[in-house]
Amino acid sequence: MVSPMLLIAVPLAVAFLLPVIDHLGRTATRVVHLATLAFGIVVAGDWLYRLAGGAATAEILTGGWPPPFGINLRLGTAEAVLVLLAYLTAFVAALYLADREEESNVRGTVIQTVLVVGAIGLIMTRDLFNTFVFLEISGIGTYALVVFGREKSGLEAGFKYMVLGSVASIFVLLGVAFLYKLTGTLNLDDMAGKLSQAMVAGSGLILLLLLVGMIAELKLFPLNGPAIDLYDGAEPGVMALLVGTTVNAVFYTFAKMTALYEGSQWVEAITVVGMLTFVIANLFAIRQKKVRRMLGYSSSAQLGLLVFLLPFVRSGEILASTVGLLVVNHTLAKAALLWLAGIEGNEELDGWRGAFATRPLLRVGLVVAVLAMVGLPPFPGFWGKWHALVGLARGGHPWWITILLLGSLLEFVYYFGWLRRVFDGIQERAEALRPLKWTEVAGVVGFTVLLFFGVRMLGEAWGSVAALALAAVGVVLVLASVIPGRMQAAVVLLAVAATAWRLWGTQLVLSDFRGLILTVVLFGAMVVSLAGLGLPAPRKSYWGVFLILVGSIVAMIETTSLLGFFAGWEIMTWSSYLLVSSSQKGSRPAFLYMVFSGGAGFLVLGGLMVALGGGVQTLAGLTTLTGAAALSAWALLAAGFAVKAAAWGAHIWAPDAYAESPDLFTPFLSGVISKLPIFGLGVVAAAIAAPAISYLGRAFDPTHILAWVGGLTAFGMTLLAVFQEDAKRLLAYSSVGQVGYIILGLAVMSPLGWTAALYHVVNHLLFKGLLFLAVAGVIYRVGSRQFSSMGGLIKRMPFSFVSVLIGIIALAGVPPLSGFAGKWLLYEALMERGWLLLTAFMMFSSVIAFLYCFRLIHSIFLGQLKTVHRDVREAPWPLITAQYLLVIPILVLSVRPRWLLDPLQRLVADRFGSSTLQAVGDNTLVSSFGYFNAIAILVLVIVLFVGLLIFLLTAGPRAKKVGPLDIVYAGEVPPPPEELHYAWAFFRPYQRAFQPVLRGAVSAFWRDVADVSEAIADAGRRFYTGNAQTYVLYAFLLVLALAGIGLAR
Amino acid sequence: MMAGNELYVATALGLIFIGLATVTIKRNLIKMVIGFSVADTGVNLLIVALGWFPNRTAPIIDDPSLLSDRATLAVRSAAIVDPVPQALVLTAIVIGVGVTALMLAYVIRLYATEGSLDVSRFGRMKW
Amino acid sequence: MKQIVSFLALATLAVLLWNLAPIAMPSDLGPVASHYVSHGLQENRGSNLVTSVVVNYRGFDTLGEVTVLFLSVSGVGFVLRRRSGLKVHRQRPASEIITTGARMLFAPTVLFGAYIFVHGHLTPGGGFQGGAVVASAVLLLILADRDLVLPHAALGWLESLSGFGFVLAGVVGLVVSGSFLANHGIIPLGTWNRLLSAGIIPVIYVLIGLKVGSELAALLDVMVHAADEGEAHS
Repeated sequence: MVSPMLLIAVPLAVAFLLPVIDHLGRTATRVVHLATLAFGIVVAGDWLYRLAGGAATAEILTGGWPPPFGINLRLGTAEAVLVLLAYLTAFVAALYLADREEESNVRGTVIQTVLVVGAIGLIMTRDLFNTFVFLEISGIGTYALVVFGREKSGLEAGFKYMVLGSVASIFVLLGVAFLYKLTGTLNLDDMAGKLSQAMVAGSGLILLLLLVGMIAELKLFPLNGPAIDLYDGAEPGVMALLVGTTVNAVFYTFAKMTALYEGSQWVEAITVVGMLTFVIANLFAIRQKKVRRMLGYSSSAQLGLLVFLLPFVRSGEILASTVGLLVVNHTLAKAALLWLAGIEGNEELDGWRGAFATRPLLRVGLVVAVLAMVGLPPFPGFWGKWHALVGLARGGHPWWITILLLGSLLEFVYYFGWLRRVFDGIQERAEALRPLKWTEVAGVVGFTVLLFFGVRMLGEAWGSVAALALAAVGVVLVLASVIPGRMQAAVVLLAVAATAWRLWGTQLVLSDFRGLILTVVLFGAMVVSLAGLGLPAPRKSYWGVFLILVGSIVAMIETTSLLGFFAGWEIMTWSSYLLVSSSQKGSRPAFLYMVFSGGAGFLVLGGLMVALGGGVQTLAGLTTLTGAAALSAWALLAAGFAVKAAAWGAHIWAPDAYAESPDLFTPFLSGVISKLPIFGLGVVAAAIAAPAISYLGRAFDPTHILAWVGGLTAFGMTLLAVFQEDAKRLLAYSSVGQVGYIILGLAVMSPLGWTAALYHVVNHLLFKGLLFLAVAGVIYRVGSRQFSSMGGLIKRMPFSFVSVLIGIIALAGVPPLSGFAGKWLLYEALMERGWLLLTAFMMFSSVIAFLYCFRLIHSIFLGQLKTVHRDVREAPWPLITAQYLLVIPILVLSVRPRWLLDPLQRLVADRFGSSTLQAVGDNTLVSSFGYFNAIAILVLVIVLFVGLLIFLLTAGPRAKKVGPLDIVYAGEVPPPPEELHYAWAFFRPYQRAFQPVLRGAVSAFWRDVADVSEAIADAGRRFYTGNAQTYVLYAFLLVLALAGIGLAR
Repeated sequence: MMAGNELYVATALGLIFIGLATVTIKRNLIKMVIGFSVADTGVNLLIVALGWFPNRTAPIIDDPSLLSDRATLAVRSAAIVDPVPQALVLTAIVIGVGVTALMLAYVIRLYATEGSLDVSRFGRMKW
Repeated sequence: MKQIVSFLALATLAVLLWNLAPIAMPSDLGPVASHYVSHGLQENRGSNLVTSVVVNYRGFDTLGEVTVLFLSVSGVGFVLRRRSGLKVHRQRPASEIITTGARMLFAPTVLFGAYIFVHGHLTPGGGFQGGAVVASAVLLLILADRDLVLPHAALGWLESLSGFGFVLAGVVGLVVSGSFLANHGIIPLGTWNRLLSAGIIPVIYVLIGLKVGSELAALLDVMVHAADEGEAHS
């Protein structure tokens, strides 16, 4: 075992010697430098390993005297993690920076080395004045190194940073000196003990001086201006080094200092300043046009979050290891992002369009780092945030949770705004790029790989081998981009089939809700990957991410814990986001999708936190919630799931996301992903709903609100679908509308309503998947989504025609196909509940649905075949096969609805008791309002239609065939060709009639929300005037303001 | 009259005030650096003043008998000022020198790149 | 406007800080200081208690202090590594008085500086003070002759080896008595008030003196040569 003292002594000795070693040549300098850092990594790693294995914390004396007479240092687990992180960052940063300056200078290497020493000293020391010395070492090292590479901007930023830093160190030094006077000791632990006894008048002021000095050193609002300039002006590689060393060390120093603040009036100030920084820096970041400046705001925000948590760590509400996870996550992700920013080199956000298009590995690195940065699973930040939130929830701080989640949502906005640009123009940019050295990318690769240590926690949370295996195969596929797309689709098909095989008989039975949804998911995934054999993959990583998505859904359904559920939910969100964004025009809709999904996720998270605060750990335990907790948990969860289901009011993301996502993915998005919020609503929200109703009484029935949300969604989306000129958009609106019906069914909260809803879940998967797949085939062959460029395809694509025909009949909910049973059940349920207005409303919107259903057949397949389409062929066979895999169950269900309804009723009965629905014979259903015989209706409809057909063929004049050019212009100037198409603006009269409803008030509302937040951010960030003296003034004003508030008490 | 060290503390605070006022009000970079030096001096004076006692001598022991005689030592220790602030101030002074040197180096390069010593010229990075 | 606000804010701050004056008033020595006073002599056998604190009790601070100086000199060198954009007019040669005076004073000043850091454990002063005096001798030479080229290589070696020596002394303490920079069991503490006493303290202080002297000299050198020499204009 090596003495931890050598972690400081060795690099320091080497730093002193480097100028001499440099006489042997620059290579010698580099080798010695790297060897020193490698030594540090090994020693720190060894210590961490021992400490994690239960070894005692190392107490290190200097001068030969015990504290408080000599300066002592400490190496516990927390210190070892930070020291290891510092050495790792320094090592990789040294590689990265080695070739960044044309004329390398040995002094640069010396400063890098001493910077590490400063950070480690700060981390390990337990002496307050020693802390000051190491703060100065870190500060001076920073000032010196920021001129690396970019002199002009580095100088300007560095100078401002130095000015504020010097003021800060005056405050810190004054604080330290007075604290010594007050307590007679400089040892931190000794002082903390003495200070609590020696609280005299004036000690508050002393602690305030120290606090303001530390706020500046920590780069917290309002003293973070120069630090943000530093990110803007300095070489990103230098900033990456600082993030891993100095920034963490200063934070840890402050964490140690919180012992001094125990019981003082400044504890709240620490909390408030931290959270204020988190929210404000994230808010200002959304207006940034410069990448590095944005990263600066983000760093400040992250530090704010960490500082915010510190008082809760002291009070024992949050574990130190939770904060540790966030620190490690931030270091790894931010350093990787900074290195990427350095490699790309473009300062402007808009210059990142199509960045790394030809460097898939770096692109994966960027995506992983961003996901980690915003706190998504499986990366460590997610677990950190989760446990921190649980701590806050248990401690009874709902408002802090709310603000924290709002700030996190802002983080989503700018980070995914960045990715939006990267995914934008993915195909356009392929210019020759300068060759990269391995030393430049080592950091990005290494740190993104390290971020995956969070997978360990994912395994614990999920406990689902199948899900992890699927996700693992997915990761392999992402990395193995050489495998051709269709072969990857085959791998996915096999993997999903294997999962289904393994789960067969255990979960894959319709005995409970989970089994139902799991069946839907796996079946949907198999159908889509089968179709994928016939279509090119939209992106090389497409199938890998798809498999991760399937894995996350499986886990989400299989898990019993709230944590496992939410981890699955979030992975589902980001992987589906990546899939949506993988089409040519997908980046923008995907961004909107992610922001709304993020918001939905945070609402769900809020609901789960209410539950966790009430001591609930598992999904099953949700039923135990009562009173106000039950209502707020229910409301938050229902709202979150409603947003994710694109319910009316939060639907604006959905049409674009459905329409622009790859044709291969839309069927899955519509058929499966849209059912997951239903799964959530069903399992999670409904478990709590019952007590909430009795709590509030009939006057304010929360499920009634949900029902109207569902009803409005169904009606509004159906209406909008009618006026679409784009086949996929039409289906998109229709999908959202159908989910509205399902929400409505669940909201009825009766056995019949639930049976209807669940029946519709299956049915919707079948017919909407079918329709999207059929349309995908048409689009693939025709090359357009517009109705105006289709028509007459019945002869060219007869199989697709049959698919669509069956699909729309099922969709319209008319006899004789399966959709009818669903609608019928829903009406019955609504009437049974006594919601007659809603019933009428739904019947009305069902009629409207005919209008758009009809267009799918009419505009695509009937009418004139365009001349250019004369040689169009039928869709590829895997696509057709996939479609008919969906057609078969539709037909079966149409004849034998009880094959599905019976198991559904059984599983509904678990929750509600048996329903009023009774079955007579094989195919007759009897409810309190009437009965329904599938076979009889089928026969009736067939007889009716065959009769009609015979009548049309025999009676009346024969239809006359016209050619495509058989049009009379009658002297008018022809408008653009698409407007001449017979299907153009087909429902214009209705559109005029509905104009007031269609004005897009909801989109306008969300646009206003975005505009207002951007305007606030834009006005607010002017606070950072860029003037060094103003920043110093802020420091004085902060002291006065805090003194005014804190000392008055 | 001078039982306490008000004079030192007041002078120290005055120096800190003058220094920081220079830093925030004067626009010339070199004057700002001078301001920091003055403020540092104030802080250093304050630290020494914190360890100062009237009528006591410097912490240097000039009587070898003290090595063995604990009783006398206890008496003598009441006649010595606190050595710790003096040690601390030594460190603080050296740190001040280092920072001042680096600041001056910055000023030299800032002047070279911008041709001006006006602090308001160095505010391109903002918002 | 901003100036007025700054002034008012600072004035308020000063008034606020005056509230701390009662705390700053003399009181009894704190527990740590009392320990140094009552045990310092036995434990380190140096007359100058401040030196005992600086080099032994808080020796780790002092190592940091040396590091700060080293770092800022490296930093100044790094910041000033480019010389473009700045022209200085060639100075007039120094006057006779300065040249002669500098030549006369150089040796005594260096000697005085060396005296201060060699006797750091006995009399007021020590490595930093002595080193600064030595560097001021170098400054005299530079003032006398702007074209003076210092022996960089020698200064560099001195700087590096003295710093390394300090760390090494610390590590010796670690190896011998298990504590970094410890002062027992390495060199006998010796007789009180002799030059060779107080164990390893004078050794370290001499190393610090050398390091500070050579570093400050190097610092002066870098600063003086920060700019391109322009054309001479009278």
